[in-house]
Amino acid sequence: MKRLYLLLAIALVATLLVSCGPRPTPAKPSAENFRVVVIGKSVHPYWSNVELGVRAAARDLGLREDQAIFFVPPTEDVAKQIEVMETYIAQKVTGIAIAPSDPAALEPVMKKAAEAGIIVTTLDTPPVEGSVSLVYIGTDNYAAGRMAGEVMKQLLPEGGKVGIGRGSDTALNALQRTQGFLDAIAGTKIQALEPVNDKEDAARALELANSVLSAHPDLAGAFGVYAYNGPAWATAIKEAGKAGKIKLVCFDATTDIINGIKEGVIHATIAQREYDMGYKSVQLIYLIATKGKEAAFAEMGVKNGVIDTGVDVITAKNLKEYEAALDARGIPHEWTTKGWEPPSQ
Amino acid sequence: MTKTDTRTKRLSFLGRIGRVREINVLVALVLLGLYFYWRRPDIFLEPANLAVIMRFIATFGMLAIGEVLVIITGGIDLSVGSMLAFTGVITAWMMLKGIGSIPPIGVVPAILITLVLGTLIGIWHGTFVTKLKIPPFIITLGTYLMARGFAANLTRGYPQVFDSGHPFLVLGQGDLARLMGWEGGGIIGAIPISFLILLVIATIVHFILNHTPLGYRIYAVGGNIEAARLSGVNVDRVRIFCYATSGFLAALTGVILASRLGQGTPVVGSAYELWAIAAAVIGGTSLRGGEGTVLGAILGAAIMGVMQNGMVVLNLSSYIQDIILGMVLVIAVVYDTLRRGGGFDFLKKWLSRPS
Amino acid sequence: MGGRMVSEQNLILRVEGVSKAFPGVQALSDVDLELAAGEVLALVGENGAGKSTLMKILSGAYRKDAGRIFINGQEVEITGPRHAQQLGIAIIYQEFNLAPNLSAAANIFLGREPRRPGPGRLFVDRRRMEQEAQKLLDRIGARISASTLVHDLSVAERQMVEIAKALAVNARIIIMDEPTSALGEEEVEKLFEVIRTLKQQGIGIIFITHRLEEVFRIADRIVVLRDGKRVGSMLIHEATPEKVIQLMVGREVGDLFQKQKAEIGPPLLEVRGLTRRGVVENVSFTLRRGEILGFAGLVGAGRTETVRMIFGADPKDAGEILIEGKPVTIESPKDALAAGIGFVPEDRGNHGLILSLSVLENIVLPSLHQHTRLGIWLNRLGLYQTAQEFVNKLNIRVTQLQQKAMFLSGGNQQKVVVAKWLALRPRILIMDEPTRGIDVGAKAEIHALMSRLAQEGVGIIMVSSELPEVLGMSDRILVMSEGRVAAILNREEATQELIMAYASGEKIAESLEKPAGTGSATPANG
Repeated sequence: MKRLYLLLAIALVATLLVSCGPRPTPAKPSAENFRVVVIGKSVHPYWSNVELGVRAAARDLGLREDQAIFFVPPTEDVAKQIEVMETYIAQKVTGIAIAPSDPAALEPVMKKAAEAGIIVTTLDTPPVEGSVSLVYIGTDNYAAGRMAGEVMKQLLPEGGKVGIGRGSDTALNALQRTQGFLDAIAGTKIQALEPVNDKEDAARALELANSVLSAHPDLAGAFGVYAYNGPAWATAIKEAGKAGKIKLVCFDATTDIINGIKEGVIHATIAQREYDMGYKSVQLIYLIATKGKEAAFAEMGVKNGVIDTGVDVITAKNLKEYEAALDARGIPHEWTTKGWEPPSQ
Repeated sequence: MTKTDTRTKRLSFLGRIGRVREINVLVALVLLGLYFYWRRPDIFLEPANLAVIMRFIATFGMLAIGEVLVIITGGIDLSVGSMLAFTGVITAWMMLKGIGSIPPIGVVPAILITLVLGTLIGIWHGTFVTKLKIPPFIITLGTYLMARGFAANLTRGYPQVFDSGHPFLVLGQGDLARLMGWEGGGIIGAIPISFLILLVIATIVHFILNHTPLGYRIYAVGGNIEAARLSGVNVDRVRIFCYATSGFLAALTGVILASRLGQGTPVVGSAYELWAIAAAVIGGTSLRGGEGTVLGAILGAAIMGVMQNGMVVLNLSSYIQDIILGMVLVIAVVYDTLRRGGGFDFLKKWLSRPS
Repeated sequence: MGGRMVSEQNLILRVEGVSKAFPGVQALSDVDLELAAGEVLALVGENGAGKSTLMKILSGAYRKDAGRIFINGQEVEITGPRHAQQLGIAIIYQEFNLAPNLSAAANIFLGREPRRPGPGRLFVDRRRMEQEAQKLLDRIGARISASTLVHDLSVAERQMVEIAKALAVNARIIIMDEPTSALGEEEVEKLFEVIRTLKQQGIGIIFITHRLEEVFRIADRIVVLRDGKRVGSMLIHEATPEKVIQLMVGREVGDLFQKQKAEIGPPLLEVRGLTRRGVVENVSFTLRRGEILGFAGLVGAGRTETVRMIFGADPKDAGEILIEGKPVTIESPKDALAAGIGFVPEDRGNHGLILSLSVLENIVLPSLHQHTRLGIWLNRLGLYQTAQEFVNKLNIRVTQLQQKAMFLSGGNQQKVVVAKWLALRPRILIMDEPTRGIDVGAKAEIHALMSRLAQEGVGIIMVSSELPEVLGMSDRILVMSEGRVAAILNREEATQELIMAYASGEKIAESLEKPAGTGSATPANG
């Protein structure tokens, strides 16, 4: 019996510890009521950068911490996103910016939010056509994939087999990036293999990259669609002793990807401006709430309901400039180019 | 002599190894291997490709052994996939950053602490299941959520990246050749260290199951928990041992994967518990408890590893790959159920029916 | 043997020359059987005689290899359980096929629930279902409310529900497989009343039992099977127990129910004030070396609960246990084992054996720790030798030690349960219904074994609901009634009538502890 009490006590303490975090304070009357929620897709450095953008925007706009909320489920989880949306609809927040893991599945609840008078925008992943989302803020994934394909074309003028690793066979961003890449290399001598799907699992991504490398000793290039795909390819290529020989193009600018560029195993990466997505989502909703839609759209440069945040193509050559640009805008990054010089060729 | 006799013979304690069921799985494995070898003789049996398969078997074999123990006693452990992410992150965190105000610690103590932590979580599961009578499905589901949550929360998604020369990486990335300092070494040299660890673990657990009173009691608890209790078996302790082992093995796998990836990342281990359970079931473990072997678990993992690798080697569309893997699982389980329950009589009758 | 004693027109069931073989076993050969409307036919025979096979053929679980079956004079080919049901044959198994979480009514109409009229027919008409079920229950004189959950019913009441379920599908032939094995005396009498009611309604009943005494109380006719053949058929007034037993076993059974003289030694186990509130109140007694102490009483009197507490299988609220004068703490079966107590539980299949494991594994399970090298790995040869020793000693019929326990007959299973304790060489053996549901031959062997163990100085507690067994085997008899010790009787003074008087609470003993019949030098504790 004593042991039972001990267990219960432990459970109680654990609950208290967990629940000590910041709590939403009840809404006060007046303009103080402004609250914006940004909902991401999964716990990932990418989304941490979005969160930093959200925080920076809140700071710049003079909002309290609990007025700009950032939520992200541990892994992609449509049901969780719906549930969180409903929670905030019930709380009658001012605006919600969401990166829908499944745009079609999220649309009804987005509609519900819009009907409740909440400003709804999307980021990172475009909504379905005719959506209630006022604006989509993010990368044009197809264009970004095309860009990756163009880079690969330059890297492989002679053509050859290219492996593709991605984390989903159904998520729109994966499909669009892949399609853009395939369209760009169409008509060249580059032959794309069937994409391998790791289901968003870094270990499986590595093992699949290993398999592709052993299955195709003549592999000339590789394309990593999701952020962790690049490092997975990089490790597999290094193990096969082909670093630098196999041309590797990937997505995002995480520490391990930058390390890969510095080592010369990754040739180029397409960096999204996810920080901007978070920043601009908060900024836009704030402007709509305070100045009205027209003025806000004009000020933010919304075209056809889209704010294209654009991408950066990072290679060993321009890595230092990229770092300087980030520093200039105050965007933090864990990596550094200190003590590294780009290869002279 | 009779049907009954052959059946009892193969299920016997002394003859648990080399039972017909495992031979079936082994034959299926060899046939699969031959098929892929026939399709790609230049690649399939190359040392580098075998190393890929062996790494897969190491990961899922280890987890499946833990599941087999838990499932024999009539339980289930849904936490192992998330445990991988959690323990991988924790171990990398301890080596690279240190926890809180504690400075970073060495490779060996970090690994040991992680393994102890995994074991403790397993004991936690076992205690809830036995003392508080919480269904194993629920309590391990709780950890499934919590462990991944902790891993994600701790890192905020940032992988803890090791420098490429870090000594820790030998564990997951090294092979026998590197360990022994051989040049080349062919297939033998290409055996990954993680696979060697699996062989050691498998031997130990096999020994426990077949040669110690504990193993014997594990099967007894799975067969009939009340009868086992009335035979003086401390059934709670036996079950806690199984959950603890599963937790330990999940932590060990998490450490190896972190080393393999060169980083502790929460983006790992999704649905691994289901793959591990599938491997156990393909290898003949009965989800009703009481039956299952280490050899079966490894063979089950091997079937899945060979399938997964072989389909990539054949450049099959990943859409089709999942369909095929799902079908393999269903066929394996249906075959086993029919064979066990004499369901083939029905099939025979149906086939011989005058039309 | 005895011919057709029933007139042809009355026959609702006629079986002619039915045979059935399993690989390696001829389970039935050329068996005839006939049943008239309103007749109670007792089907007796040792385990493995073919009774179950015959019943499974009638209920559609097995297909016959040869022979013909007529129902109401028409030849039928029973194709499956549903077909058997349509033909009016119902079988009530030892293990009930009831869903405990549903009401009696829902069980009675399971799969055939009455629907509401009109568009409401998607829904069950619960009220009508309960009314109809209640009618059926009343018809057999069962005092059960149809809305009660089966979970809350006693074993006997569940049986009533099973019978009502059979009537609900208009069964004309009801087969009862060991219906009394889990019932106390009073409940058996109630069941018999139900059977008499069914009889009057023209239903034919095939009654399978091991308890011969019941056969003579209820049956009109007896058919004896042995080794898959019909060896006898007689009207009840022509039969005697000796004659039936002789036909069943094919030999004379001598000293059934007779304990051989054993030297009664000093007290071995003393139980003082054992209590679990609401179940067992203040039970005290002493067991001596070489003594068999019989526990008699009605079902629900707390006998099983008492012995389970002694063994540490269930928690106790109060009470002291002393072994050879020293107090011991027993909180789990493991503690009991360490104290030298063995326990053969009432429910062989669920508590005594692990059916999915082999005979070998079952026998050595409690004594594993005695067969290790350095306390780590098992000495397999030692395990094998131990198991073989007890298989030989107890004459357990197995094809090999690796045979799964589930493929053994009831008697052999019980011997395996006993063997696993003997392998530990216990000082005290608790046996709860040691011969329930096993055939006459195996029963005699178990009794002989108990006798031998007593002679070797083991103290035995035997819980039994069969009074002749209690009277024949016990040195002293502890009678329980409503959770209390009603009396402790010496062998010489005990009679069936006296035991029943105490058990039913008619009589209350003036002094509870009496010295054992012989050789006792120690004063009794109080």
